[in-house]
Amino acid sequence: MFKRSFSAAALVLLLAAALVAGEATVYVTTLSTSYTHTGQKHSQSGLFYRSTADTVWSFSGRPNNRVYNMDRFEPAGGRILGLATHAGVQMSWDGGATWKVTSDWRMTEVSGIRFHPSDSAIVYAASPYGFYKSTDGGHSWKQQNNGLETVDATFISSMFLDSRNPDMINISTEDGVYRSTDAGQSWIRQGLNVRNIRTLVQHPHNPSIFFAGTENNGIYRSLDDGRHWQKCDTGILHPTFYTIAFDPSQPETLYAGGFQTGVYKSVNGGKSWKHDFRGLDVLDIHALAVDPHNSDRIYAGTVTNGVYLSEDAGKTWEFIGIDSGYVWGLTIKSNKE
Amino acid sequence: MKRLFSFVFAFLFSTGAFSAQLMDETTYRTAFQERVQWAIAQLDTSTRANFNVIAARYASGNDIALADSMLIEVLREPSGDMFWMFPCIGTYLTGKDKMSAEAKAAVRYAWKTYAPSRGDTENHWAMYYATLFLAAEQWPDLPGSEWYNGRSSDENRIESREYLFAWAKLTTTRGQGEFDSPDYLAEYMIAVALLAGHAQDPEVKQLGTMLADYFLADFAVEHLNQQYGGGHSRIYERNLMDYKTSTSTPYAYFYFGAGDPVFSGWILYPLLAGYEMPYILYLIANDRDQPYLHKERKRVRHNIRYGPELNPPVYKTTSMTRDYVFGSLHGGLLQPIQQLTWSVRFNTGQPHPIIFGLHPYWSIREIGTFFPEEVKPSMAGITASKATYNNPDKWTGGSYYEYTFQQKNTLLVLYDIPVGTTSNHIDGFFPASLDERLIDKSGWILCKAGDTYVGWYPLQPGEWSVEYELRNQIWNQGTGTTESDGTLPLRNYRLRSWKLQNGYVVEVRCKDEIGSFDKFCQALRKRIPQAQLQPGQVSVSYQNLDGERLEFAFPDQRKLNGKIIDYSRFKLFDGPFLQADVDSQMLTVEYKDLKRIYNFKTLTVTE
Repeated sequence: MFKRSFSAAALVLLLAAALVAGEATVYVTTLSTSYTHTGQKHSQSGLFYRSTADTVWSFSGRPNNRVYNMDRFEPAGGRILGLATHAGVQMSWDGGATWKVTSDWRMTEVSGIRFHPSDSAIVYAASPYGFYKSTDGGHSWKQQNNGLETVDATFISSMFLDSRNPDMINISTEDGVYRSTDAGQSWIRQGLNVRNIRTLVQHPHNPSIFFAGTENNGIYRSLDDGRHWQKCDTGILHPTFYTIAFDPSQPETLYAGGFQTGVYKSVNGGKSWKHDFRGLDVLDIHALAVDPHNSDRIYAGTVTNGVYLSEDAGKTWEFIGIDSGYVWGLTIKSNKE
Repeated sequence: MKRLFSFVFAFLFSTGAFSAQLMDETTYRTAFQERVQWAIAQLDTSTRANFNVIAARYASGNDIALADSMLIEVLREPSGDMFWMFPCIGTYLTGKDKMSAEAKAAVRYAWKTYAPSRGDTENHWAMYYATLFLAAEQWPDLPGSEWYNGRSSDENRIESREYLFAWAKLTTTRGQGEFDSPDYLAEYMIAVALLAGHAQDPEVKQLGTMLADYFLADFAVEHLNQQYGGGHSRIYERNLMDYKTSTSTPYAYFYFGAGDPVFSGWILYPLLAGYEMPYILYLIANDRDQPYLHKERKRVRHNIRYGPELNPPVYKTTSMTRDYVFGSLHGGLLQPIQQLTWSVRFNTGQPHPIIFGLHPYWSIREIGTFFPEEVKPSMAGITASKATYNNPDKWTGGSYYEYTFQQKNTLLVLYDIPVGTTSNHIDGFFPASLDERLIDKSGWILCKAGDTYVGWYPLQPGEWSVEYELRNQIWNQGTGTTESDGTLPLRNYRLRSWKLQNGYVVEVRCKDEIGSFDKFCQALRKRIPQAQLQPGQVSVSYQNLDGERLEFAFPDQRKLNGKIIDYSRFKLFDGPFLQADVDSQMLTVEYKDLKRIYNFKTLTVTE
């Protein structure tokens, strides 16, 4: 449960070691690790990571960092990393040994970042002020809000690149769900007539299936690429969901968490849900991820107390570190080809 | 002996300056320099290791070796983000020609290794980019590996410069976002005065100088004997009552020469940067021989969701006399957490010289409008730094359900609060220091504070409570009845009404305007507002002491003598001393036969 800091050179070796030691790497991004505000002395916050085979969290980047999400450019074997942070986009091209803020004052409170799956030059970022695209590997950024006409529409809470075609980008906003079919150049509102969407995800095996978690309106599912939506509320006792995660190995299994929810699980593709919170000291869940190599191993990021792990597919939970962490994102990247 | 003389000199020039004989420019400049020396003398013999002390020591040359060692010590574990950046670079720029190579190296190393947050408010960014710009100028041509953010000196300098000009343009076309704040004026002044004093880029230096003048001009027209009057975007509760503790008060003393000496360590940075205010602003800040009406337009901090636009306008009205300053914002929720919608402040020298009212509202909607984090879990984070935010007894904060209509020195305030809203009451604050607080049979509450008279007509019944305030007590916590030394604490009065459709009329006059207090009371007794107070239909009609008919329907239908008042025509500044049109990037400052025109497009000032 220790947090470690290392020299830049050692970090490269450690990251490489982490990558080979386990089957996957778990990345956790935190906004804070205590209730602090600007001007105070901060606890260490930012990007934490560990191998799924490890029990110790390591840390990368500046310590005083409010990080929403991260992404890794897979073809580069973990060398190219991007962080979506309160202070803009931070990039690393050496596996996290060194970092650079690559956006300027025009980008702030960046909440999402995604690499094009095969072209390292293309990177996307999302923020409360809209959508951004880089065509030079994250070195510079351009805002692309064509079609996002209102303040609520530019407040983007999550995004994904369609697994069938990465130029088809889907975002959730305070105004609803929007889609771009031209790599972010323009946006069209989709058929979900619900506001305050907090998360939007695509099924890993059936890419026509989308799920959306909302503020105050539960969970919705679309079976036709977001054109039509149905509420999935059988067994749901809470209204607000910040995260939905699929089991990559089991097509019908998914998990969801949000405000005061604990962790919900569905084993029938979202038709019905059951929630469990044994061992969870904190019920506000902001991030969930399933180990791609072990369906029983689920990670949950909480709003006020770091990360919990379930080794029994969500039945029971155990605290595994990052004390008092406000976890925003939790990403597992497979280290296997 | 020299310091004692300096203090006495400064004191003599400060007291009696307000609304009395104004100094000529030479005398003002001499007195200002005496105050600067007095400020340095407050700290330059201290052995407490902090940036303010170190900067004072470098300025006076008092034991530079000790200053160097202190500097190295305070740089061992940097913290504070931009609140670290400005004293660090301010101290460095004050002492860099005197400090040791080791001390210089320690400063440079800190800017390489300590990663300050950029923060999320306008004052954070002003401090962050102003100081980053200065640092990048000091250490040019360094690669990104030599900076905390991985950006090269050029990248940091160019980005900072771009932001500073963009911010200045927004401020001079649409108004400041974090406007007229007694508690954040200092942050802006430090940022721009450091640029004015130390920027090598002549355009940035000029921009810093012009912005420093701009912010002090903005303060000067709403300044009354060290108090910042009118509505505010942000103010802390304690400072709302006790203006001496606001960070704007030292600026009133040092730059306006107003009132008794008030010192703050932060004031050193503008003073040591060598920024000097134009003499015309001294005159504007202090001449209250003629009452005046001043209007302004500002803008709301970024509404990042739930709103129709990113930066809606804010309309301000302020009425100034030698005895009081009475001002308001047009209403609604215009700033998160610390808004003060209206107030009347008295020039009495008594404790808590203020009357105001509010709907003590809080909500996750308010938080979500301005902050990007998840709204439902946000309350704990907010109250960690703003402890009274969700306290129904709090004394600051705006509300979606509160709107105003001010015509000179008459104010109408209406509330239409839905059932279930936090809170389900409105409050009024009346200080213990009032000479009179009469609950009149007519319905008027009639108050006297020195030569200022305040009439408050509640449109709904309310109840009074007495609040005891101990020195050093945290607001709204505890109700002690004596101080530790046995003296009686201050008693203030809270007027609370539990009606959701509500409002009041406030009339303020001074002796110069109406004569005796008795005459004021007699006049008000004949003037009873007519109100309609139903959900969705809240309105009031009132003929004021000047005979004008004011009609106000919640939230924004305002008529004066039957004519609709259109706030959208408000200028950025519109009063006898300041004039600025929306989108103009211009500011005209006038006092009698003196005139200065600021052109932010050309970065020029003409006289």
